[in-house]
Amino acid sequence: MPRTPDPSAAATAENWEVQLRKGCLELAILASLWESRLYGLEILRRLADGSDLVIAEGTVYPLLSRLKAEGLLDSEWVEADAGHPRKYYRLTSRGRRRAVEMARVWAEFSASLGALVAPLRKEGR
Amino acid sequence: MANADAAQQRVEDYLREVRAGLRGLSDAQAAEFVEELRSHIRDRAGSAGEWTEASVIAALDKLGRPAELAAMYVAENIVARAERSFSPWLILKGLFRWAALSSAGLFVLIGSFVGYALAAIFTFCALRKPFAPDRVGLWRLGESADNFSLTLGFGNPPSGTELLGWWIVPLGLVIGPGLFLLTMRFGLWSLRRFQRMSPLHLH
Repeated sequence: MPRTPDPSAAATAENWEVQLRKGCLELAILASLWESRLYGLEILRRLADGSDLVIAEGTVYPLLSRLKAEGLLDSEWVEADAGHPRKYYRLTSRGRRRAVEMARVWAEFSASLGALVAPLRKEGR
Repeated sequence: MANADAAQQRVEDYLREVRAGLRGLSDAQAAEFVEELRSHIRDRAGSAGEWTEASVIAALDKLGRPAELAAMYVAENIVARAERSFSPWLILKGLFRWAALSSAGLFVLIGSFVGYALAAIFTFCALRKPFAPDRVGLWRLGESADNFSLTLGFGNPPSGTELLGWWIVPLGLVIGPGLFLLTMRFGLWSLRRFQRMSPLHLH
């Protein structure tokens, strides 16, 4: 896959960070729905509180629609006290299994990578 | 109140721009996405009546650019739909967007197009052979060693040596659908890759 040449190292690092965040977003969304159903903005708030996934807010909606199309999420419109309906999402049983599997992979991956980069972090201090 | 009207107008303009970018989706799906965004904006900016132009602008700004948002929504859904439907049309349509953006996308689009075309020709030849044995086949044109060119197809037989005979039936039935599946997997794999590299993420 040809990539456009990137002049500055900072831009490369930033691009790497973008890819990393984006890759984790799917797991973060599934995880945020583990305990109860939520609507889009609530999911965004969870992501803002519990993780560092700073994103253009709109990004979650296309992702949510794909996760639903893949059968990992269900959705329903609920008439709320706020005076307008909200679209709630919840995990399907397939979505729960996928979330558990992804969490396992993530834990292994971050543990082994964490050990590998530990010396670099001491250096940086 | 004029302020609330102006705010309302901004929301409608924004949603209209999103809607315009959702071509290719069903009306129901496009409308649902727009309603979901409207609900989000209401929560973010305060319900109509209490929202101000400033609060609406802030909410829309956080949401992202409408055209990019729509493009991302379409891309995510085309992959999911294409994965279920086996439709070459959906895959090519999805790839078409990326072809305009990068040389890799263009390469994949052309490759997929050729793959599907060859798959169709092989399958068609295999099915047509029993009905027109003399007119369907794989011919070698040119007799000398340095003039080597092959013609696969149907129609008036060219002047050359027919190579496969009846073998074109089993070969075509294996190669045609096989190539179809390979092209589909390649197209879906590429679409997923392009999606991961999609620029809309940080604002």
